[in-house]
Amino acid sequence: MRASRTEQVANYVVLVVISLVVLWPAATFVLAALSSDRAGRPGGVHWDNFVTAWQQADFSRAMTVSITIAVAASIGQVLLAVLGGYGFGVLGVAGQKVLFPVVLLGLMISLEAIIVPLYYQFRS
Amino acid sequence: MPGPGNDVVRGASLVDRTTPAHRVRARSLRARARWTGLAFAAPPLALYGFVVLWPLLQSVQYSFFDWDGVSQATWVGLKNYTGFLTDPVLRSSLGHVLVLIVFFSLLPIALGLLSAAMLTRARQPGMGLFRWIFFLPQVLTSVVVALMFKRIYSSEGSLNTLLDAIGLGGLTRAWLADFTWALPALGLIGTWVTFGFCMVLFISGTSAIPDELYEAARVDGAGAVREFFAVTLPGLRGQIGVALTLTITAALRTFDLVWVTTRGGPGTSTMTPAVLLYRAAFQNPDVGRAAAIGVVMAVVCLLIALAITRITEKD
Repeated sequence: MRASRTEQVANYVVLVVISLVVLWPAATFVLAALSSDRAGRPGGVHWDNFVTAWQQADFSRAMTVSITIAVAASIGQVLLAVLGGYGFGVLGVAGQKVLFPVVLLGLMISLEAIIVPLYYQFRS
Repeated sequence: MPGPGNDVVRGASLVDRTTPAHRVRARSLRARARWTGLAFAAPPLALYGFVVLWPLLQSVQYSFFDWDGVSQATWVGLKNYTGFLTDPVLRSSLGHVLVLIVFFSLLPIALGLLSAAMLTRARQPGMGLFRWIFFLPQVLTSVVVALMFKRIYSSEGSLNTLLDAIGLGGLTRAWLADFTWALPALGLIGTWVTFGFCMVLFISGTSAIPDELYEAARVDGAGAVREFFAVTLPGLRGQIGVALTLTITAALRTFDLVWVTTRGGPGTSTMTPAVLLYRAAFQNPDVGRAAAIGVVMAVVCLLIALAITRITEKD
């Protein structure tokens, strides 16, 4: 439907104000990234900051590590999920009345509940 | 309990009784399929048991001990849990979570409802752009968001510049170093990030509300506000439930934002249970306490999820 003229204007005013609040932090960050100043005060357009950052932070290596983890995790997840999904969904699993709720429980449990033993087990 | 063993026994006993032979065959085939299914599901289940279930049980076990991660652990019973009542820092962190719930959950849902209502009610040009802008914070990494706001809130950051420019120079301060203002300042970061997510959820929910309801409301002479409270809000009940569950548990679990910006400071004024867990687990190990915090957080998250589902799914 078409809203009245006043309503349209009011909508735009509110939406623009919210947009400015949303965009402002991101904009200051982008300006800081392009700034010539070490403190990141806005000014100038210095794309070479990105080159410096890439080299100093050894970004290529970090990205390689990330990609390795992502690829390995995805492949593992898909393989295991296909096996489990076919078992539970098509064949049915002996004891599924107990096993399936247990799997669901694991989906709902937060990481905080298992992170401590995980760390101390994998450390040793 | 209808375990696998029972099924086999039932299948065997059926052979001797009156059931037609082909049904028996079907039964035993299905039973065999279920054992094959178990074989299929075994690798994921084994990994799951190793990475989730076993550590979960160990967490509970750890939580009854006093252990520094190196030397001999000693049994202390429920002492790690009573810390929630006796330890002032842990207790205050629960209070902080309540404040964060306002900023991470209630405010974003209110803003999300407002923007969703505005974006869906009238077909004005440019609405797609606004939707895109509002969702933008969701796609940024939390560490990046935290760093952005750390700059903005700093004593020479753009928030103070803005306050100076509009003649409110008296209010300027280093926001995240202020005992009173650090927590609300952190909370507003959460509001900034989360409301776009709530908005998207509510927009998709609104599209499922039948148009007749809106037409009926308009025929009855309802204005935009009345229409919102009479049609949109009740129609979004399920979505609001989902948003509440996700955002409240997120507030309870706040870690990265606090860790990057304030590390719980100044003093302990922005300490959250997750930060305390991290400290007790990895910084100066009091592993039992960390495990107890983790167990309590998990249980509270589960209870919140159950309670909200119960309330919002009732007719």
